[in-house]
Amino acid sequence: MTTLAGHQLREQAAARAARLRAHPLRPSVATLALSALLGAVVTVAVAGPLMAPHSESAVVALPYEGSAGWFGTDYLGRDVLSRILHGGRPIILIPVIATALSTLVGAVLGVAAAALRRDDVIMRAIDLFAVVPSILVALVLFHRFGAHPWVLTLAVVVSSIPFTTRFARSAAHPILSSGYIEQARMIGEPLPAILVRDVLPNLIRPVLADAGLRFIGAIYLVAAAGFLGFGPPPPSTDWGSMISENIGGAGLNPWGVIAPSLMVLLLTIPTNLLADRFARRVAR
Amino acid sequence: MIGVRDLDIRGHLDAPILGGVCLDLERARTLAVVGGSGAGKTTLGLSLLGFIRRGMRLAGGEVELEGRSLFALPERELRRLRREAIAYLPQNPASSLTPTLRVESLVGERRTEGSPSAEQLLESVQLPGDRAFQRRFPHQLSIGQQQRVAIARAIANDPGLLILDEPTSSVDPTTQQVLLALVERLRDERGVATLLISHDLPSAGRVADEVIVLSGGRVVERGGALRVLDSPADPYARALVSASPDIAAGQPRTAPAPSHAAPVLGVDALCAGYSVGRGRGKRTIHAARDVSFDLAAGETLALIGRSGSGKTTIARTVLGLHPPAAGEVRLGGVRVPPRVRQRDRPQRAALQLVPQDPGRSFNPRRSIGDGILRTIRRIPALRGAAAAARLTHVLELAQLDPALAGRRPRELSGGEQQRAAIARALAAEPRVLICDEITSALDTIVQRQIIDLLKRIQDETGISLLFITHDLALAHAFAHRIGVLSEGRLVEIAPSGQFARRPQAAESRVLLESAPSLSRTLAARRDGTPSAADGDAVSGASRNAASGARGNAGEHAGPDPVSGRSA
Repeated sequence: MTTLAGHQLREQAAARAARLRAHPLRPSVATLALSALLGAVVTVAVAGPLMAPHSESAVVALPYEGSAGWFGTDYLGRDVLSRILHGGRPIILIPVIATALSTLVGAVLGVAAAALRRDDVIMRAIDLFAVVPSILVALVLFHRFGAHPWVLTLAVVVSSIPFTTRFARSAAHPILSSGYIEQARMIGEPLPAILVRDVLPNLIRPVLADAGLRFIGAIYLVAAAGFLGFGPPPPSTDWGSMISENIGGAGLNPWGVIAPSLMVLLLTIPTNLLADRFARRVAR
Repeated sequence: MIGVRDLDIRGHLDAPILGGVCLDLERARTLAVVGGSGAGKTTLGLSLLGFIRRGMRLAGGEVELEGRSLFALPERELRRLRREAIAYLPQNPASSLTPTLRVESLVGERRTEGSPSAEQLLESVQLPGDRAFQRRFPHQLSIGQQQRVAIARAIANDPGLLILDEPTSSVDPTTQQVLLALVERLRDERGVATLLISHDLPSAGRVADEVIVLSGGRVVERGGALRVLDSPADPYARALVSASPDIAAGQPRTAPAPSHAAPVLGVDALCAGYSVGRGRGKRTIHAARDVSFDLAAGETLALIGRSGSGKTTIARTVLGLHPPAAGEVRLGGVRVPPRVRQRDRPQRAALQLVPQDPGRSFNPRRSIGDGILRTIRRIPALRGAAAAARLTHVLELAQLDPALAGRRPRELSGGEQQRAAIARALAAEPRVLICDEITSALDTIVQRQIIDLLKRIQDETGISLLFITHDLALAHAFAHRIGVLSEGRLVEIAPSGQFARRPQAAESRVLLESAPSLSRTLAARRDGTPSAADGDAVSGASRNAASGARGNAGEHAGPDPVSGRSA
C-alpha cells in the first residue's frame, strides 16, 4: 500500500515537472511584435543622428514648408525628419539612467526599511517626497541649477525614489517573513548572505517589473520638461521640445507637431504594454 | 436529481484529471467523495456547478441537473442555477466572505423566495440572529463565526443541491459538528442532496449514505457508506481507510519509555507573548504561560491543543525565533541563550525545525538539494565531497529520491516537500526535531508514510521529537507522552496510553471526545445511536431522532443509487 501511493505521488510529481519544462515562459506573438516595435523606435532614437539627411541646425527651406522632405520644415526652416532623428537620444537616455538609479536606490532603501522592522523613520521621510508633484520638483531644480540634462535626470530620480522605495519595501516584506528566511536565520546564516541568496533573487523580478512602469513615468516627465522649454540647449532638441517649438505653425505644417508626438507614443505605448505583461507574469 | 456520466476532464498537455467518472445523486441523499490529494475531488465538485477550472478542459461526458445538461446551458442560465438551486462551500469557507459587507448582506443577498429569514439561517448554524450581530462585518467575528456565516450564506438560497469541498479540514471542531448536523438536518427536513468532498473519513462516515473513492481521477470503489468504509475491496481504498487516524482503534506507542535522568531538552517556566494593535489599542497576547516540560533522549512528546492554544509560539520560543518573556530553555542541562543568533553552532544544530509549510521553507528560486546543502555547509561545516556524501545520506534517511534534489520546491508533491524538510533538519545532526503540524496539510495516506518515516529515523538515530499537532489520534499513535495546551498553559502531560484511558484535565476530555474515529462513528451508525465523538453540545435531541430514523439506510438502500445498480 505504501509503495502504491508513493509510486503514484512520484509519477504525479514527475508529470508536473514535465509540464513545467514543456511550457517554459514562451513569449506570445503580441509580446514579440511589441518588442520589435520598441526595438525599432529605440534604434531610431540611438542611431538616428547617423541616419539623418541633414544636421539638426541646417536650414533647408522656408519655415513650416510642408512639402520639403518627409515631414516638412520647422519654425526656422530646419528639416523635421532630421531633428526627429537627432532628438531621440535625450528622451531615451535620461529616463534609462534615471530609472536605473532610482530603482537601485529605492531597492536598497526599501529592503533596508523592510529588514530593519522599525522602518518608520525611512518611510516617513520618503513620504515627504512622495507628496510633491514630480513636475514641480523638476521646475524647482531647473530654477536653481539651470536646464542641464543631469538636472533633469536628478529631478526624475528624486521624484521616483519614493515610489521605488515603497514598492521594494512591500515586495521585500513577505520575502523577509517567509519560511526560508526563518530557516536561514535558524542555521545562523549572516544577514548579508541572506540578503544576497534569498532576498535578492526573489525580489529582482517584481522590482524590474516596477522599473518598467517607472521608466514610462520618466519619459513623460522628460517630454513634459522639453515641452515647457527645459529641453536640451538649442540647436539640440528632443521630441518634447519639438512639439512646443512647432505648435505655433501646426496649421501650416502639422507634421512638425504630429511626428514628435507620434514618436513619444511609439516609445511609451509598447514600453507600457511590455512592462505590464512582465509585471503580470511576475505576479503569477 | 444530479447525474454525472463518463466525465472526462483533462489538464495541461492532456494529462487526465478525471476519467470516466459516473455518479447519481438523488434528493435527500448524501454522497461522499473521498480520496487523497490530487485525486480530482475538487474538480469533480466544481463540475457539478458546470464549472471547469482554468487550464483544464472538458474532454467528454455530461453533468445533468434535473435532466438538463449543465455544459450545454448558456452562461446566464448556468449562473441563475448556481445562484438559485445550488449551494457551494469552498475549502476555506471564511475566505468566501466579502470583507466590506455586513453579516445581513452576506446572508441576505443570496436569499431567494421561500428562503428562511436571515435570523433563522444564522440560528441554524448556532449563531445569534439578532440585529447587533447582523450589523457586524466579517473582521468583527472570530474565525469560527466567520466560517459559520459562510455556511449560512451558502445555504441561504434554499438549495436543492449542496456541494461541500473539504468542509472539515480547516474549521474548528465546533463548526465541524455544526456543519455535519446541518447537513443531516437539511437532508431530513428539506430533502437537500449533498455532495461531500473530503479526505476526512470519520466525517464522511457520519453523514454519508454512499461513498465514492476517487484515485488518480478514477472511481476505484463505490457503494454504501458503511460497507465501503468498513471493508473496502479496492487496494487503494483499503490503504485510505487503514491510514485514517483513529483514537479508538489505534494502539498507543509502547516503546521503551526513555529515562528522564538527563533530559536532552528542558523547558522551564517558559512565558511568551506578542503584542497586537497600536497606540491605545495595544495589548499583549499571552501565548505561552509558565510552560515546563522535559524531553528524554529517543522520546517523542506530542503537544496538542486547539488553534490559538500556543503550540507554535512555544516551538518558536524554544528554537530562539521568538523572545521569551520569562523562563529558560536547557540543552543537556545547560541553559541556552534565548535568541537563535546568540546561540553557538552546537546549540543551533541541536534543535531543528520541520515546519508546517515545508514548500515555503525552501527558497523558491533554488533547488531542494541546494537548500539542504546550505544547512550542511553552515552547521556541520562540510565542504565538497564530504558535503555531497552527507546530502546523499540524509536524502536516504528521509527516503527521498536523490533525483528530486535538483528540483525546485514547487515541483515536488506535499509529501516530498515534507521529506525534504526532514532531510534538511537531519543534515544538522540535531538532538531534537521540532515538528510543527507537519502532517496537517497532507492526506491521510501520505500522513501515515511521514509518521512511519519519523518512527524509523527515531529508531535508527535515537533522536528526540517534539511533535506539535492538533490531531489527538495521531499523537496517541505516535508519541510516548502527550502534553495538552489550553490558552497557553500546559494543563496535562501524561504517557499516551494512560492519557487516553484517564484524561485528567477538562480540556483533555474535550479533545478526546472530539477526536476523530472512523471505527467509533461506524459502530455508532450500525447501532443507530450517535457516537461519542459527536456527543457534544450540538442540538442533541433532534439529531438523535434523525440518526435513529435512518441508522441503517446505507446498508439497506436496495438499488444502489450511486451506481444505479444493486449494491
